[in-house]
Amino acid sequence: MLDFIIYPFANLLLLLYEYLGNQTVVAIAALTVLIRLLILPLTLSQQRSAQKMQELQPEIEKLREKYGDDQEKMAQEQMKLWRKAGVNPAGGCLPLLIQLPIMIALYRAIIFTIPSTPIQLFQFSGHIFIDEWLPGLSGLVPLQSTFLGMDLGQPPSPAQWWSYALPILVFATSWLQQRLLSPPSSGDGQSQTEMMNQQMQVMMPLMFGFISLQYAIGLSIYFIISNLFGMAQYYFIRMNREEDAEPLPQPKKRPKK
Amino acid sequence: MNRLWTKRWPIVLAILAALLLATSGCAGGVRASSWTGLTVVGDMLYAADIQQARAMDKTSGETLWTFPQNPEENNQGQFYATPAVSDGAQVFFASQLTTGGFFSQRQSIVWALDQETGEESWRFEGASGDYVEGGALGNGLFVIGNGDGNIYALDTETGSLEWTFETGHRVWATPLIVSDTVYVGAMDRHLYALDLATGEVEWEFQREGAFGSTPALHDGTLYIGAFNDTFYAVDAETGSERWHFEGQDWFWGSPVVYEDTVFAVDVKGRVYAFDASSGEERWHKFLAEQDQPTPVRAGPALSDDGSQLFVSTQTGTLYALATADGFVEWSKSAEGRGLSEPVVSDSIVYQSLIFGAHRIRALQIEDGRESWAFPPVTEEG
Repeated sequence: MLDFIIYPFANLLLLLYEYLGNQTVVAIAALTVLIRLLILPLTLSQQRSAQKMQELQPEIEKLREKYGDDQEKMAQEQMKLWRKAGVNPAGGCLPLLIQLPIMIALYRAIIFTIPSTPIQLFQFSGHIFIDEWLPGLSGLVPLQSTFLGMDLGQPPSPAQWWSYALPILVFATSWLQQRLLSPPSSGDGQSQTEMMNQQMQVMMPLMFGFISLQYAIGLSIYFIISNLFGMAQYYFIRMNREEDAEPLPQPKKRPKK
Repeated sequence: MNRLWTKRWPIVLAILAALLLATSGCAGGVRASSWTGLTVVGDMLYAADIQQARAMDKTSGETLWTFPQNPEENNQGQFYATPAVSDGAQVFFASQLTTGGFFSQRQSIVWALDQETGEESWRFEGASGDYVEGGALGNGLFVIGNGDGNIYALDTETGSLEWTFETGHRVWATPLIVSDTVYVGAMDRHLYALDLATGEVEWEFQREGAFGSTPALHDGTLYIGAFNDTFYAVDAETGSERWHFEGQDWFWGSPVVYEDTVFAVDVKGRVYAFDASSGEERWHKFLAEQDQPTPVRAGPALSDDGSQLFVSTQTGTLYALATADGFVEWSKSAEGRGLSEPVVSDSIVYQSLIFGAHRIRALQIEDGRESWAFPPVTEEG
């Protein structure tokens, strides 16, 4: 289904492996950075949107004070405020939706190049096209699969108990990233936005941690590097925003009764 | 609508991720992850038949025993590795069993079974990776490589571990044992010669490609192909290279030798005949179907008189070629994938298939007529 990205990823992984010292983890990390750079326009808009939502939080609190009992009105005013500030509350989904097939394609690329079963390797043998331009690269397969005593082509296992550190790291970095992108809590934890954020902060890291437990360790490397990249990107945007300090639109003041 | 979406989208995403993983082939499920091997000894055919080890009458295809008898009730994992049959009363299989759950441990098991009854003599559970091709027997030892990167030597009587040798990557190839030496190719791009008694390295031959096959020995020379598209002739005594042939794709299947000719197949379906002494190419035949290359994982098999060469392809077709010039004498298609080496015994060639209606079929070497197929009737449903 995703062959059109899986095989280019797998070939790119071979290329990076060849030119980055025959280190599989370094090659996966480099491919992750390349992928993140490729989807940068999407993730930038997601993070900008999230930051704007954070900055609008005081205004939303004011709205809540005003329309606390009238949920319908509150939601309408909140949407108006977001629209004016150019914020799409569901805008964070698109980058994540795009990342999912990328994540799956990268996973398949990893298990093709560090296969745990021979059928995977045989399937890949017919799709090593980079060899036509750079002869010899097909001889790199299967890539070196050991990293700190762990098998990158296998899921964490009790025999390599320290391999469980990776799903934990995936969960921790995902949680940190989600936390950075979430607006500060108003304290009551009751608003719709806050409920959504709370769900986000737990569900997504749990999902990625769960996937890391079940699939090849190489995928955990992708998650961790991707999350670190996301956090660095967040700080970069924040620094730029602080320097440029663009004022956000203020909600219209309602006439006093 | 918008509120509903904003509230529930993390859950929707999680479900979507699970669905995508399932449809992308990452998820579990009963599907062969390797090919299945056959061995014919005397009147018996022993088959790794995924859920069971199977002993059959080679003439009729009748099953004589299976192990385990009922895999639904007594799951012993998936059997892929080619069985090895000792001169005594044992046949050796290997399986891998994965239990579910987050902290599941993969169990890899070597089984010594009684040749006549299929009863277990002993088992060895010391490896942690997959057994792919199979093991070899010599001097009371059963030697087998594993996906965990180790080569294990087991006492055939007791199953006790006599020695292990650690390579730098997976070992998926069947070793070759000749007198006191074990020759084994590994994915760490080495062909090793090990002392059979101790596992110590006698010599190692390293090149720029993984070795996934069993070398063929002829007149003191080992013949083996590698994943760097190159085929090698190596001095069996010293490990020095005698000649090499640069092909166009990986050599994965094990080569065969008849008199002074070496036969090898690459993964795109090019069958080569080389002069064993010089490496000079005598002929090559490109197995193509509808002008498309036919992927071939396994090496060829020779008829007893050396006049025919049998090649099983990924598309399930079995080819019979004349060893003299590569002329295709006949070909028989089948549903499924033929990724294992065919086996020839007397006037029959046996092919093992995965993902097809039949998992084993026996064809007459003369014209490819089917003698029997297993399961005999296409399973419905």
